[in-house]
Amino acid sequence: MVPPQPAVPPGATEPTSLALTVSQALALANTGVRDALGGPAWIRGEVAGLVCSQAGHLYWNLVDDRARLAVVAFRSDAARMRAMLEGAGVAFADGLAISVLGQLEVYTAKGQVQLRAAKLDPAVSVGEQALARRVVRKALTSAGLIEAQRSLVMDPVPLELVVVAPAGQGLGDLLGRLNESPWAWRLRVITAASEGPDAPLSIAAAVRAGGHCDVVILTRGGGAGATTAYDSDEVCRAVCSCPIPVMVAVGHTSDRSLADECAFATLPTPTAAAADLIARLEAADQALVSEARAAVNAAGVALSRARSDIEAEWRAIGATRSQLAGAIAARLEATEAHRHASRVRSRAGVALAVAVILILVLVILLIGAH
Amino acid sequence: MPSTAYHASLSELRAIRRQLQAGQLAPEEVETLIGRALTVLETGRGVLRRVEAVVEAVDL
Repeated sequence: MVPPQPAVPPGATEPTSLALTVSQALALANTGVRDALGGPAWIRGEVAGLVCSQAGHLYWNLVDDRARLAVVAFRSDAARMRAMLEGAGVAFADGLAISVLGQLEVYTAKGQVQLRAAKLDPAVSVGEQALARRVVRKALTSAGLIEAQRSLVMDPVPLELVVVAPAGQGLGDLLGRLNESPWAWRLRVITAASEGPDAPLSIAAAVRAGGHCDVVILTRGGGAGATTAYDSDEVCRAVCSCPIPVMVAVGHTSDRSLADECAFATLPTPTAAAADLIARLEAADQALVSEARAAVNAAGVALSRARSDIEAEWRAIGATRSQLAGAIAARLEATEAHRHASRVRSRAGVALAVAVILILVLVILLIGAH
Repeated sequence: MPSTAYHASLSELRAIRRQLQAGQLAPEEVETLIGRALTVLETGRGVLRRVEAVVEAVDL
């Protein structure tokens, strides 16, 4: 502790024996600086000149448009701060806006005012809403839920729909577009608040109450209303845990909500959700027509094959008939020749017999004459 | 269940198509199969199309 110094009137000549050492002066200054803010204080600014020492300490400057303050965070505090920022999905780097809690002090070795940092608030870096979203996303990821919807398969014929929406234009757009189409929708509409403190629980309860269907459509129209409910833990968990594909169509949001990230499919507006479903039904109908067309084509091929087979058989029969006709003709000819020969032989026999008889008669006559 | 009926129609059409593609069929058999395919197509498409809209409102 530096001893109290006697007051010296302005302009008076001071004995050099009363001069403070540098250490004494800075120690006094340090006391004043430490008390200036009444203890540890939050100070916000932008990170500049961030350096990490081999020992793991972090050094940087906290700057705004007019001033610069040296900051030091010793190893354990530095590690905690880095982990906190990484948990919020932010890299600790130059240019990052942060708010640091620390003790302002004079670093006597350099005669420099510095902030000894103890913790920081990542919400300043990423924004309150974004931070809350990051926290929910991290929890869902850790629980293995955030990808759960991606593993589901939507029926190619999503005719049975549960629509979770606040009453309003968005719901009207969705129902109107569906009703214009020719498909046989079966709709259950569950109304839920989309804004206000009750919205997260209201939407989550509606999603859970969906029951059996082909797809749950979580929707609302556009407008200036807040859409923070769709970033809430309650809604996102309900979406992730739903065993049925959930389609999220929250109209006219500039950013994707966390529910969008969790959903099976995400569409920009209720009308777009209706168009997507209609397209799926058109594709299903087309699949039937294509299959029937393929069957008809296959029938054409089968008939043409049958015709070829019949023609081949017909040709074979024709050839056999020709062969048979030739054989029959040859046979007839041979028979005729045989008959002719028989007739000739028969006639020759008769002639011979007559001749023998005549000779015998002649002999008898001659014998009788003698 | 419209979805079940649709899938049954699609499966039967596929089976008919495979049958037509696979074997030696007499023209009478081809005719019978095509007749059946057209009936199944009609049934399947009928399942998808609306007779009347069914909208149920639920208030939790």
